[in-house]
Amino acid sequence: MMLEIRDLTVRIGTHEIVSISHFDLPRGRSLGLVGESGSGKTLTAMSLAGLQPHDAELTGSIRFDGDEVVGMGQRGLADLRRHKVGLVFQDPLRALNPTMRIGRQVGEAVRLADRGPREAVNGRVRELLRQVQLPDTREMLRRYPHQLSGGQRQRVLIAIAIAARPVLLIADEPTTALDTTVQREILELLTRLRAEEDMALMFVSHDLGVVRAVSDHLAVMYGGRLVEAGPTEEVIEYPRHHYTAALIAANPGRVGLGEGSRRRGTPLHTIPGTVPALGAFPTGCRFRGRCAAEIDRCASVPPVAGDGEHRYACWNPVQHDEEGVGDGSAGHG
Amino acid sequence: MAALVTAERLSFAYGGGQRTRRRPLGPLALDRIDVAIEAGSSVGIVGGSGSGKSTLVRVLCGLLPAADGEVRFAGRDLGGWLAEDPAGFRRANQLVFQSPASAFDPRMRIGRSLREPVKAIERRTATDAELADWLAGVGLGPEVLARYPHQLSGGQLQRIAIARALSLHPRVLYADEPTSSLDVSVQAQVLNLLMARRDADTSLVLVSHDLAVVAHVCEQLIVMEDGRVVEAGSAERILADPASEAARRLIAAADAVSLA
Repeated sequence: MMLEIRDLTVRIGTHEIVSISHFDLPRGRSLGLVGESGSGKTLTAMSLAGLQPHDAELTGSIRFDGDEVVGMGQRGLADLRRHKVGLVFQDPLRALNPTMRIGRQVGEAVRLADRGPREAVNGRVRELLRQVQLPDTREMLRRYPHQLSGGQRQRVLIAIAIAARPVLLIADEPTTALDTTVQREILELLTRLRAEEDMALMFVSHDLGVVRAVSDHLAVMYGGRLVEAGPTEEVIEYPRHHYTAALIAANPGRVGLGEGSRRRGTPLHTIPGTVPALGAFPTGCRFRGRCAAEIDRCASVPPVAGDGEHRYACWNPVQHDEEGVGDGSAGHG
Repeated sequence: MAALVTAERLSFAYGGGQRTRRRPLGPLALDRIDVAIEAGSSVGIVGGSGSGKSTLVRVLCGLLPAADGEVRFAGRDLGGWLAEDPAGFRRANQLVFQSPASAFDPRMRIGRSLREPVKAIERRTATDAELADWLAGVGLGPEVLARYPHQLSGGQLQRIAIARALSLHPRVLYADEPTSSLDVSVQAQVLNLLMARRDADTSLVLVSHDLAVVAHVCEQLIVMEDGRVVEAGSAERILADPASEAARRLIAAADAVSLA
């Protein structure tokens, strides 16, 4: 197993922000990590690369290719980030150095991964630009970040992230700041690169639709916990946790008028209440108080249930009848 | 039905001022736009970044002056009306922005922020009953009146921003990317609210880069690209049979990330 998480907690001050008891990510898998603001998805993803905030305290275990990341020294973490994990962030303008030309920034990533003669580095830089579908011309290499469009900057960031041929690419909301048409191109690019490079992809997003477009597996977080995980299509079609079901129901339907389009002007499903403040989550199931299917047992922490790869933590899961249509108890509110 | 808001050959250039014979406009953010918004309709303006959708809304609601062409509201010239009777104009045209956090003065309690438009435009103090009524209309209780903006979530603030805009009973409510900074489940609350509050007296103009959102809410669509309107008409017609390449691209991009 490439990545194994066991009893991981991330605390900041007195608040336990993330608590994940068991999660595995095999080599080569594309995983969508989904959750709304405050769900702990970004903190979880950053902790995997040792990039949690300085005041965050990790307990438990994150094993990356057998190496323990929790408690790993700076040298080990730098090595991990240099060779095994690539990172792409939401705002490429902040992730790129505004005073450095593109060619030099990509070249720096190439040299960090593998010191070689100058010609070899330059050749690899051009190869990376071609891989992310940017022109590998001298003119492009000499541009500064501000001379690129948002989509082009994100492509440069992806080129830097895959320069060392990482086994895991973590992309945190990489398309949220982009136009929908550019977003589509970047999603296609990530899908193609993941297959070409045979790397695992962890795509962090608040948007289930975006995640669906790039990932074959899905993990849904709420209140710092994993509430449901499994094959993407199965989870979206047959969600078992009521939070997942509500999240799906809150999305506007398909744009075209084909099957699956919702009626224009009809109310969308909402989730009652708001996400509690840090430290104010209920005990037991964290979705308690906002869930339409709450029962007495929800006051204690639900065990992970489910068969095969589709797992969920719910005492009273969404039932699906034989035709595979939800029973309608989910997401009404 | 006569159109409530019309623009004819409307052009605008940032930093350009008015067009004169001696000084042509710079690069056009809006390039000879023709639009018509009917009373009581819901109109979605879609397009990529830089297509001019936000600029168009800002000109239509009087925040930016048209550089060339004509904009009329119920037959009345927009610039003239704004000069003669700014209060009346503002009452009829209200705008909700993308970022609810920057739409509220952080030093003012919500109650005071909510009273401001009526105080400024109608020269009176709104009663507590009115405030409670406005908040109830957006699904919030009177307890938020004593709060400061930082004590509320983005979704709550955006609902209050809508309540504040509606407190003047505008003829047109413009909403520029009102849900882009919100989570999906909160977005649903705000969209439901916009749909519920649109009626024969209040038209809704919704700007979004997200076609799925606009397609769910609006009956009419305006598709923009490079400062021009490339397609306009019934949303149903455009989504089923787009005539422009821009609309086709937006539909494909939205369906690529659809859950259905």
